[in-house]
Amino acid sequence: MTADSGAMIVTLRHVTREYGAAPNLVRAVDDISLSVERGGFVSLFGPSGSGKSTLLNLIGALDRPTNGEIELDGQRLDLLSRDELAQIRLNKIGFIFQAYNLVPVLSAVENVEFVMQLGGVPQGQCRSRAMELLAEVGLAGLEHRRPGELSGGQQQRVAVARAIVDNPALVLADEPTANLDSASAHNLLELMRDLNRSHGVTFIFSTHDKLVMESARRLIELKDGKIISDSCQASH
Amino acid sequence: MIDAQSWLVLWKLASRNVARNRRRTALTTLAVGLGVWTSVALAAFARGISGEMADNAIYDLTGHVQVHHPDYPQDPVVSNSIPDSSAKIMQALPPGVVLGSAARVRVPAVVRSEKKATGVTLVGIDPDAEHGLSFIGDGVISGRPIEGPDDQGIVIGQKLAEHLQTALGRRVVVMSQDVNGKLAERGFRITGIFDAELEATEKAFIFCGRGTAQQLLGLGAQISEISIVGQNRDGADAIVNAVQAAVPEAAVRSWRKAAPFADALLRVQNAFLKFWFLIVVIAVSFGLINTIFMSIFERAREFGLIQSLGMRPHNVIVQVALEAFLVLLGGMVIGNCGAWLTVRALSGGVDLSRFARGMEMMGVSRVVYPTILARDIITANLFVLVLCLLGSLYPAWKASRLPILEALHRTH
Repeated sequence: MTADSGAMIVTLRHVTREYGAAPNLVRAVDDISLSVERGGFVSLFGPSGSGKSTLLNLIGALDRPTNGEIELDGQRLDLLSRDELAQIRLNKIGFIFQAYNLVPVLSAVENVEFVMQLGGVPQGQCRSRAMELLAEVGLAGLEHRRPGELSGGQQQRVAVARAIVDNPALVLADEPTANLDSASAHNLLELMRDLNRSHGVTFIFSTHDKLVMESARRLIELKDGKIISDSCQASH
Repeated sequence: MIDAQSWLVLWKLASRNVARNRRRTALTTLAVGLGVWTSVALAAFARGISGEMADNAIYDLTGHVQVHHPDYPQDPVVSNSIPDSSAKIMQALPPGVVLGSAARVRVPAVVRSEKKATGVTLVGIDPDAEHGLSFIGDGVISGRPIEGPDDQGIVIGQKLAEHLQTALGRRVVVMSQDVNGKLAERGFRITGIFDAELEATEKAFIFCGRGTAQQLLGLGAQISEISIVGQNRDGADAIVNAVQAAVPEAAVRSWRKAAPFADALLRVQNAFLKFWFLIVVIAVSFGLINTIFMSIFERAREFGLIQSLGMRPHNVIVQVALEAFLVLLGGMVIGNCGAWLTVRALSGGVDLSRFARGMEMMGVSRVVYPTILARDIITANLFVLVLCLLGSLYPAWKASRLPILEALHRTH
């Protein structure tokens, strides 16, 4: 795939991420170059330890590469400070974690509002937008429950709503269906695909789940930190 | 800069996190409260002692301001006398600034009974001027007080009467030196016995009419001192300046210079209280910092999460500091209320009769009335608030520097 910086939301150039030091050096990502187009629905797959999560963390500005360049929406992440990276995560990226990762002291609607409030959106707008999105992900009536009072599937839906509430350019999902039963996983996938189609949000997710892989338009296979295949699938 | 919306989020997170582990929050809040309570209550007790001490010094004929001949403070003899300028001074002072003034003759003397003799200070007074200004205006417990400037009787202290082995109605001889340097001697009948807060005062002073003393010493209309009592101790310096302007030829001193021991003790006490506040705050802040560290360790994953969602590191510091602030605020409310209740419960005074002799050496009364001063409350609370908040910044900073990925993968 060739990089066209205008059409591409993410571009990686010769990115390497190493952990530890010799002789115990681990190269989790090994000289990867990759571009992802805007509006893409991309699945990273491969065996455990292949570098999927590390790659997502690098793209999501949660980690820094040992070598190489990462460009997100035209900005070089490897050159930014902690504060600037926090701003990038806030404004441009939505995260869906495997373990839901909701703030336990906030209710569902407050978890969704959280990102908007950090971005300085007025409270009235935050509340109405959060309520609207929770209804969209099928959680109407559960807005004021805290994470401990919601099922795994419901929590993951809250996490999806939180990820897209501030209209990010990119949503990163790390094994989003791993902790869900098949019915919840199917519903979640439908939801993400709807959002991808209707809102044009770019999704990149790592997965082992065949169902998830089948729903992706682009499949990138990783092994030992390297891309071993990169293919497009027929549109769903 | 943190915008209003971010403050709202930070406040919400901080307040809910504080309420999350209620037992731990309650214990930490109580520890802070205990620190504030001991600081304020101890300060109130200490202020009670020092207030008594200073007031006793002032009430023992010192007053808030004294006017003397310039040489009198170093050599309080009869020749270092001044004209009575009380009226001129009172005219120079704005109305309401002082409660009153008293002109006195005050010289060293020897008093002798038929059995013993001892050195004392002979004080010639106008009793009408002394009411409310010194203990002698109200302190006679048997016999009668001095009734006017020309009263021919003498009033001595209870302890002095015991020492001289004399009693009411008996005669004593008072000897001093007159203005010409000759022996001035006269017999007096004891017409009154006074009781003072301090035994030392009862042994040190004898009182007669001011005119009688002037006649004995050949002073004419001259006096030894003018004692002025203002509304409170803190206003003394302003009175000194006004009086000095009115009588530039005289030596005008505030009670701080006239009773330097009391002043020095007050200063030492101020320093001691601040030192005590500091010790308490250090102890409290160690507990607080430890609790915050525990709380951060337990919530490392959440700190990773909120930073992964875009919260800036400095906002994390503010959130942790806000949590510390809430605990401190609760502790300060508990501590201040506890101290107020303690002082209220002791408003009838703390009886220190068992330590009366030791206390008396410092000029302190047998009964101490704890006094809460606004400045002690402010100082103690500011110490706790500012130093503990500064202490909380370290764990807060650590929380903001947690590697996000490492924090997100913590299992607790």
